[in-house]
Amino acid sequence: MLTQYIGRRLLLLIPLLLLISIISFALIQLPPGDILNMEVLRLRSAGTQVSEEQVEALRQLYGLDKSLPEQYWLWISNILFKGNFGTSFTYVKSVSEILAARVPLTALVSVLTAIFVWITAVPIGVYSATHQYSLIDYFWTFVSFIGVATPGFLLALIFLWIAFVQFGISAIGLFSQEFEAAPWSFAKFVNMLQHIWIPIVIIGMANTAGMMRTMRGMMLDELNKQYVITARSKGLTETRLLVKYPVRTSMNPVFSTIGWMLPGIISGEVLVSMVLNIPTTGPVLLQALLNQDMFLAGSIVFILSVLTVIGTLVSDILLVWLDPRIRYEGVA
Amino acid sequence: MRKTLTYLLVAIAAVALLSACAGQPDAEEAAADVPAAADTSEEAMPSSTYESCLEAQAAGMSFCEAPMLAAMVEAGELPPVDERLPVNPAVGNNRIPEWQAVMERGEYGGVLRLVDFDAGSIGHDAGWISNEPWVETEDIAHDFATMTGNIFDLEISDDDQEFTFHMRKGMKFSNGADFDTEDVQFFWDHILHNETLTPVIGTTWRSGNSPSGNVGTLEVIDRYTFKISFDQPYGGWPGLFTYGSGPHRFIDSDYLKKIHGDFADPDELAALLDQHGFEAGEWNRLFGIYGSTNRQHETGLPSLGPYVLTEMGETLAVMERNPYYFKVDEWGQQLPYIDRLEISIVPDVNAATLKIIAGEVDMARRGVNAADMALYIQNAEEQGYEVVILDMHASLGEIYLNMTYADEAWQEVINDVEFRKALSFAVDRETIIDAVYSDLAELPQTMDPTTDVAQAEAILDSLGLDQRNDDGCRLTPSGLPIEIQFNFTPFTGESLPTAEIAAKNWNDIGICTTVKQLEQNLFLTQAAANETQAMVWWAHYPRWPWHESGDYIGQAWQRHYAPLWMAWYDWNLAGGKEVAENPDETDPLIVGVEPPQAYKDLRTLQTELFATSNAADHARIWGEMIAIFRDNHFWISAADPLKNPLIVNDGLGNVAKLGFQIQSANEAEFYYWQDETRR
Repeated sequence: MLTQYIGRRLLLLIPLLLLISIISFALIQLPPGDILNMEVLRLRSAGTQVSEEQVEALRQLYGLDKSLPEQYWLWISNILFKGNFGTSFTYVKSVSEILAARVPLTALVSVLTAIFVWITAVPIGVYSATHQYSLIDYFWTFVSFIGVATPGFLLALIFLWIAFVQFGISAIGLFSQEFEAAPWSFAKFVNMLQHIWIPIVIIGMANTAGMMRTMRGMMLDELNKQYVITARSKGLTETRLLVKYPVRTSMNPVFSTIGWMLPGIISGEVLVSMVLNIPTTGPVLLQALLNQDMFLAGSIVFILSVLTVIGTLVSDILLVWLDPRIRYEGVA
Repeated sequence: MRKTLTYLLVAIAAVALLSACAGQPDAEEAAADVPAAADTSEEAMPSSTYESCLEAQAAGMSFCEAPMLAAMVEAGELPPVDERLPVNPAVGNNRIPEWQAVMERGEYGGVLRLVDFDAGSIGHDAGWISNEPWVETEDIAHDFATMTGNIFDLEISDDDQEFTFHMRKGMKFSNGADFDTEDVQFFWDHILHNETLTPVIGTTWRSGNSPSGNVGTLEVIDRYTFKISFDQPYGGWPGLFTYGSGPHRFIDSDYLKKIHGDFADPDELAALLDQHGFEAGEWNRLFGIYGSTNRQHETGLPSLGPYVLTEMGETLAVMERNPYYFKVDEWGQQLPYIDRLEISIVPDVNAATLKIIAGEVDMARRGVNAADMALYIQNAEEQGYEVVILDMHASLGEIYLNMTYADEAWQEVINDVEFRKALSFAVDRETIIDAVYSDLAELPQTMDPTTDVAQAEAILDSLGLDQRNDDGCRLTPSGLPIEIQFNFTPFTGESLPTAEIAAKNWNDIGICTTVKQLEQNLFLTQAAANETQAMVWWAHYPRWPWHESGDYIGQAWQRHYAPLWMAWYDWNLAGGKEVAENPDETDPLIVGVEPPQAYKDLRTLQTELFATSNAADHARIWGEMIAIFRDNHFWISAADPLKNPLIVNDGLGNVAKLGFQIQSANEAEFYYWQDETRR
């Protein structure tokens, strides 16, 4: 039955993805002007002379003289049949090359952030729920409100300012200056670990705060249910009781967010990455959209959409598999 | 169970503490490590590389080279320095006036740290360093009287129609390939005259810089001499090759033949196209990749500049010395002195500023703004850099009114020069200079810079604009309110505050003005479509009559002050051919609007300017053009000339501290580390 469910969902993906590809391509073309406006502006400000005749040559060079449906077909058929996502105009590089250089680090930061969020939010949420209205509960409630309310980029800016005032350094990037140009070594790896916790904590802050609250709320709902009282009256130890039943049920929101994590792993946090100069894919997407670098932007948006769709599928399946109640309602 | 949870909490706290601890020493280490790293490099290097140079010269060499190249020659990886340099290399610096007083004999070695903030590109400070123009004038002033050869020597015929170029004998590209007339011929025949690569040959290559002029002809005289001739006088032509880079950047022909559809082996070309995901027949797109200076580390693009790109990471690019660079100092040492450029790539200008004030950048031009002066100066002493105030090559926030904006009320008033004069009188330039440029600017010299609000109001009243509506906006004689919408896009930081100050000044005299920020692309599109009424934008005039010569006739890419006058010229001046072929065309964007005589005079003078190579004539014509700007107020200059800071590490020698900022930042082949610890 589960296989049938998955099969049906997979089939539905095909028209959905096709639609997404058309929409993402069209959306990027919607704003007025094109990449050439920006390219010429950039060239001129860098001291290169550009006449209007040369712009025409560039237009041909980029294949912009073709009609829109033609451009779309070239783009999508290359992705489907050759796995080629096209070439970015600003980078003069293929989209795959650009992503290959940035996705591993983006994934590392995202996964570490998720782990940080889980290992902090889940225990704190559980503790807050079991010790409702205690001093520590109030403390974490306070912290989580601040965490939810403060945007990550602001935290990043405050951090940079403190680092500059205290140590006189620019705390941006993933390496200290002497390691930036060095080849990979153990020392460079250690140096990276010393830097990478900063974006992780800053990006994780808002999520941790949010998840802490969700976990606490879910737990409070469960703790008052009769099965808990029954289990307790049957003499189950408190730890075993908590971990085996209410915590398990309360984890559902955690699993349903796995679906959103998948695109998050590739996209990265845009603003915090910008501020801290972490070379994730986030700033690339932002720049590509601003510059109307359409193949780069279109391909990233497309890849992210595919991952969101797949991620949602995976988390649905996970939930179905984990929680029998959903299994019986949803699948049957 | 409470215990378990408490343990968990303690564990979390411990993790947090640990990570915090891991972070703190990191900062301290970074501070402590810099001198440590410098110490080791000091031990490795002798105190003067010039001694070994003298030894080499005593042993019969004409020139000498950096230790890093000497080691490669020793290892058999490079030919000796005398074979790498042309027999007549470029000696010393011609570009900086009074350079002799500044120039010192440099010492080899070290790293120069730069910063750039354009995604995937190192086009700015490092890009400018890499540019090698055809010929040079002193301090990019484009004064033909000071013109000297750079990659070529140039002779101009008396009739200003023939240009004979003498190449440097034995000059080589960075890959060791010969740079001779064969490369020039290839460029001329197979790039400029190839329809796939150059669909339309630009005005640069046409007589008189006119779209209707005939393309020049190339004649190769011998291996190192060639001549380019035009059928009309075009003496201003070499002025287009005195700075920056452009389509005239030379690349080794053998390298280009591998990607050129007429020369490449079909199978290899097909493989290359496939590798880069291009369709068959799209070989011209390979030129984008193989000609890109940002991919030189992968393609090995042969170039003529002092440094070649060897690494291009996401946050750091590295350039190393070009072993075949064609310049030497007066003591016979091959330039550049400094071995490597390390360019940090950051996401935006604010990150660049942070690196500058943390002393992590040795030389910075772009992204250094007058508005941040206080910040630079506050940290200069502690971080060991100097803030040098130099001349700016551009005006960063000029005010343009669109003479051909199609609005009824606007057309009633804007073509009257008195109205434009009134608006100019109202602009409070002192406030702009103070607030926008931290006083690092002067009152404009190309127009009357007086601020006189009473006179502005008196002029408006005398033009019959003395009636106002309920909002206090002045009405035109036919009773329409005069409203100005200012567009700007935050390309330079100066545009918003300038627009806001001018808008306030105009509102104060009853010209209702609003300021609107647009996304860059939308801004450019609207401007090109004659949909912009007023804008604040940057321009290169009035100091650069040659380059971006379109700026002052409103012809720049974004067409600032009269898009339809421009269109009229395009439509009517191309030999009248367009008009004859399309008698029914009425679209104003295409057929344009006939400009007033003053503007036509300006265009005529510009043609004369391009026709002659005589410096005295240039000065005279340029003076007449400035008089036309002054009398007609085609745009409103806010401040001019500007100054701008250049950030230079205290230990860096041979940095020109007078003249143009962009020129000083450009001279990196002459920089050397006076501070021995940095060599």
